[in-house]
Amino acid sequence: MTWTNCPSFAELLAADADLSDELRAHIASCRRCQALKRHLSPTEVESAVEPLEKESQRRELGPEPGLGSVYAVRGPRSDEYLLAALVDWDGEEAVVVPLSDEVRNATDWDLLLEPELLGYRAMAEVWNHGTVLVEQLSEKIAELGERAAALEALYAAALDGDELATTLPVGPRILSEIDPRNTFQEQEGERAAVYWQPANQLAGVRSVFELVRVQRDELDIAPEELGAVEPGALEQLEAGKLDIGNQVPVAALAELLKRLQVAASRRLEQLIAAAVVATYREPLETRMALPRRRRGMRKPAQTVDRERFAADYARKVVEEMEQ
Amino acid sequence: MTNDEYRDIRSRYREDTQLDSRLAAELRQIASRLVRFGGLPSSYAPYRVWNKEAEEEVFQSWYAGRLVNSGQLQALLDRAATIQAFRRLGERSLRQHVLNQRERSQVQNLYSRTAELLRDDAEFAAFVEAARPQDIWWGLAVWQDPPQFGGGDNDLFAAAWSLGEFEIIRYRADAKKLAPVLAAAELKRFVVGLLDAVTALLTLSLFARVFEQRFDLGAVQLDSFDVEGPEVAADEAPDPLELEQTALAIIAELNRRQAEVLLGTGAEETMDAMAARLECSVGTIVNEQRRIGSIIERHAETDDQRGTLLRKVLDLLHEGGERP
Repeated sequence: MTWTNCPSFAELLAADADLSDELRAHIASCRRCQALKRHLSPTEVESAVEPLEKESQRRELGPEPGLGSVYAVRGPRSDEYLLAALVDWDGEEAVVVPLSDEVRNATDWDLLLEPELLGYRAMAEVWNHGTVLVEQLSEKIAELGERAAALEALYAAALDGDELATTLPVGPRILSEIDPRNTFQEQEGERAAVYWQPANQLAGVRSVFELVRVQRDELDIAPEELGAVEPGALEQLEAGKLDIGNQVPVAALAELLKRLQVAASRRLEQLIAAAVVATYREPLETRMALPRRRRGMRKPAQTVDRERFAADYARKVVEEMEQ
Repeated sequence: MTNDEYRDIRSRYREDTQLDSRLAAELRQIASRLVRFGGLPSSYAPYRVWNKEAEEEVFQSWYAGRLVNSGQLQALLDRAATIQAFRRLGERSLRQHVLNQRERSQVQNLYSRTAELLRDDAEFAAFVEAARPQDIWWGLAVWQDPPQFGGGDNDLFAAAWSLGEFEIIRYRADAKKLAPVLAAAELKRFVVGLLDAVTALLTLSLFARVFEQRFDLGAVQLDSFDVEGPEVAADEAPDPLELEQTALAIIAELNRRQAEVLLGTGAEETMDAMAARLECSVGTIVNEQRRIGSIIERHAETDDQRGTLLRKVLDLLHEGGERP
């Protein structure tokens, strides 16, 4: 069972024909939405309102990621961003600290952020840090500036289990199990966990073969239910015995991975390329090897071409997945 | 508004000096929908009736006060990638705002009743007098030579949080006008608990700071006193229409899994069976039950009404569906 967000009243009130297939399916199987839909009756809504003046928060943001850069992080199958500040990153992954505007629930592991930084009061939930793929960093929203050093200090203390510096702007400690902020932290942990999935998914596997096997098990999908690749070929693929680059069309592998809810990323591209190289069988080796050997000729090494072929194939799969 | 229009507005909002009229209209519609389609029970309306004026009053305090002036609109835009997500988060924000508003309107009353409790209840004593009532140091009467509290705000707030959940303001369903009912026993439990936790004397000024931070009640005017006596929570059954509206408001706050957990719990399904059916751990079921409890608690006035509301919510969820 998937737990997609329940729709707004606007969508519950809309005609069925105006809803997406996904939303219709959600409403059809959600008791909460069905109960509301049964009791909502359309009437006129007000839309006249005077637009207000507001303060502009124009700022120049460098394009490069840096310590304390705040990003809107994209999640799998979600139309909500996770706002998060960067604390560590490389070319493939980034460790981020989720931000929340529910500052009332701040604890001593939440760094308080002044309204000037984001336009509203917020806190960086250092206790709730996690890893995302760099492809999930959708857009840079702000820089924490001088607060970045405090974020780094708090993050380092969390990793090392150190005592907190008393000068850091944080919330009150949690002293008991019945502190209601424990419940808030559980909810926040669940909210953020969705965004860690793509990186976790790839971190735990050594190859695309394993990724396909693990995801298929996880989602409990039988080989015959995966239309993209024949069951026999899928079995070979999972065993690492199928020449992916030559026997699985780009579109088919892309469809298979999407069906298995794998997100397109640089890390995935590398795994695919490695799998293509590992299973590559040069057609010449099987067809022309014997005559060549008979004439005392040796085929020149093809490793460079093989890698180029694999990289090209992997890039196309990822591009196809992104479309 | 289309998603392309929304994304365009979202990308420009931070640097704009005026709200885009389409975004303003969208917010107006969110409020109007929630009010007119039963997303907010009439007991939440100023003067307990939703009419054009009440809708306008609530909308303006949300739109101008919470969204634009305190920057929450920026927070909504930062989080919502699509117009659908914006509407969903907007509805949640408005519901939260209305609930907070009615609690915040009572902060003064709460402060006065705390003063009254400390003054009139023999369990408390003033240990250090002062010229202004808010500076008198109070403690438990049984204490011998206690110290004055000398810690920081965070120490005080940590102690307040450590006491767990409290419902110190409730509402009468039968009142003609929005009227709070202070759960006197809860308030006393909280005051005693806080004094015990810090094991030091506290002033009313410090209590006021705690109410503001711990219960999100806003700032207290320390020199203002309300002398009304404490009211007693009403036991009367609420009006059926109001009961249904409140039950729908609770359902609107639930998510899909919580609705399923509530139905399963109502049908006395075992934790293990529920966890298997909903493909999650038993721990998740327990957490969801606790969250459901908090949502219902916030809308109910008495334990009896909590039970009545719970049954109504279950009835509405069951309609047209099979029991788990």
